[in-house]
Amino acid sequence: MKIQKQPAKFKHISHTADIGLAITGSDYSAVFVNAAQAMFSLIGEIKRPAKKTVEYQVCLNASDQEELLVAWLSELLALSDINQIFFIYFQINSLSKTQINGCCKAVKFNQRNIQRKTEVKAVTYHQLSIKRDKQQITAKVFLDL
Amino acid sequence: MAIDHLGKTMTSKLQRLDEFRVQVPRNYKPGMLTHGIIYANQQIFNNLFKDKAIEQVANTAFLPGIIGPALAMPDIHWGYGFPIGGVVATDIDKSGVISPGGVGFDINCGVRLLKTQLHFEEIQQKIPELIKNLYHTVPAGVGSTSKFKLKLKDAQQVFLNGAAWAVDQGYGTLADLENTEENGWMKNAQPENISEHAVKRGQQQLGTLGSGNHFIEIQSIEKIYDQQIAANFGLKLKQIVVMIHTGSRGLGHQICTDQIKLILGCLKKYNIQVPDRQLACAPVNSPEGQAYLGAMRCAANYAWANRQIIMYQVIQTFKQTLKLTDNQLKAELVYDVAHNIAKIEQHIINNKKLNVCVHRKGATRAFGPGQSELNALHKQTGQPVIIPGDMGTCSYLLVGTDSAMRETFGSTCHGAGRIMSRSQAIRTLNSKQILRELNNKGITVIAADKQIICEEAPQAYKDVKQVIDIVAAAGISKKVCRMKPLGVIKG
Repeated sequence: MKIQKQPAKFKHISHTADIGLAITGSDYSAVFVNAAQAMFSLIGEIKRPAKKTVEYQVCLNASDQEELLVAWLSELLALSDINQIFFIYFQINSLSKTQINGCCKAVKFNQRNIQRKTEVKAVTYHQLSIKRDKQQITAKVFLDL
Repeated sequence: MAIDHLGKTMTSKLQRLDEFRVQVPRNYKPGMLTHGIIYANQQIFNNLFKDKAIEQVANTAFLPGIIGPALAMPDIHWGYGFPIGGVVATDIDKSGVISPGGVGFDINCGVRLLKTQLHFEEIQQKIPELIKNLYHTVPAGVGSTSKFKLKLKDAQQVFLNGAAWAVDQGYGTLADLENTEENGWMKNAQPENISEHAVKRGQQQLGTLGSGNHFIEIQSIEKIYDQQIAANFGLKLKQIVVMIHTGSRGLGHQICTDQIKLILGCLKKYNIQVPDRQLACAPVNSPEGQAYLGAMRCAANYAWANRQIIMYQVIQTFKQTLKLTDNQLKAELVYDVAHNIAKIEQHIINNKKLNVCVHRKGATRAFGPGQSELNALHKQTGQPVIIPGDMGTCSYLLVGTDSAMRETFGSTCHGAGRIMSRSQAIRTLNSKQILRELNNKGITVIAADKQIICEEAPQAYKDVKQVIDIVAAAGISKKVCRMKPLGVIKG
């Protein structure tokens, strides 16, 4: 399957030791996809197109949508660390305020395919927010580096 | 008067108590249960207005059961939830809480100092080769994994027994344990309270340095402040020592992630309100508080085993590179300290001995002489405190004091403290120029990539000398000696 690069909409928020992400999207699913793209753009960069991908189903619960965003990013981070993989594609199959069901594709980390950049230790709840205005939804999340 | 992002009103509430202490009064922010004290001279204080560290000190004063002031050491900077450099104690017999965010994701990130009997002039020419060989021996950098693929039953033993497990496997001596905080393992670790994800992350990263600000540094002692204590520790001028800075790797990150989620779910149950969800907490004596402590101790033990194994690898590399025997190298651990941890300790408050939970988030235990937790030597000298600076300046060995016991729950700073964000460092600094400047100072550096050289450049940190002068002048630590960097591995 050919994976199209998904353009992510996010900005970095400066932080003395770590980094914040301000992520935008036209709907909540887009925000969750863009947040994952933003986090993995810090972790690494694809040097060559991936030939073989591995698929992961990610189903999670949380008490509200903001905490669900942390749970989503934290799960992807843990799967990446445990399996030594780099996520390149994210699809949200269903999303409510407290539940997410996503399908993500990843490639194995190796020096030829992926340039590793920054170690993201964890996803924090510090100043966590998801806000909707007339035009778009914006989420803010800080990562521990 | 500096104007902060909160405006002049908030700034004007801060009160300078003396040359080294600033008070954040209880009315700084509605909901604070006590005041805060920041150890800072005017220069460090002025820099605090660039980020949200002061607000974070105020936020930690919301934690139920807090006793004494919310403290921040001079290496303070903006963290997440707690400020880095934050120290908060809670009275556990009065429903005092424990907050996983008050320990952080890198549980028991810490530093150890290894001494050798080598002299600077003896190995000066060999530093580049030593650094190259250390870099190839100790897995370092983003996503580094270990040669040790721990079986599940061995992983459980590491979680329970920490550095004692490593020594039992041949990676060190009993003397190493005597010179490690908590003897290298905390009792009452509960592997049953950690997730499958956490275990899997732990199984593949033991003996790895990681990345970011973690490092191995060969140093030479360049100044001795207290001859007697230095002699007691077996340290003299121009002696070669090695500093190792790392923590509990993915295991600790996952345990903190899992436990904050669990504790967020019980805030209503205990009627706790915090100004930042990263400060989620539960009473120490609640099932959730005990579950966190049991899990946290697994990560703390893992971190001590990690530093023990890395130290063993460092010793082997020195012996092989320099063709020395154990007796010729005479490598011995000076001490190992944790600087991201929560401990149940007894402290005397208003003439009463209380059981308190001390959170040290980017802060180091600095127990004064005579404390029962210390070994015989440190009962005389005070507990050794190891403070890494930046890779181009210097690092320090201090000891804890009686004043620290009275004033800071036996705590002091943990490093220089960042002053420049990682993104600003990458944007504004040039890695080649930094390497050239370090090389001109006689410092060899190997890093996993150029980006980390900029992120960890000396310019990105406060002046460690100033930080140390503050804790020494305030009386919460005493200087023993200063070490200059000769060779550095950055992950």
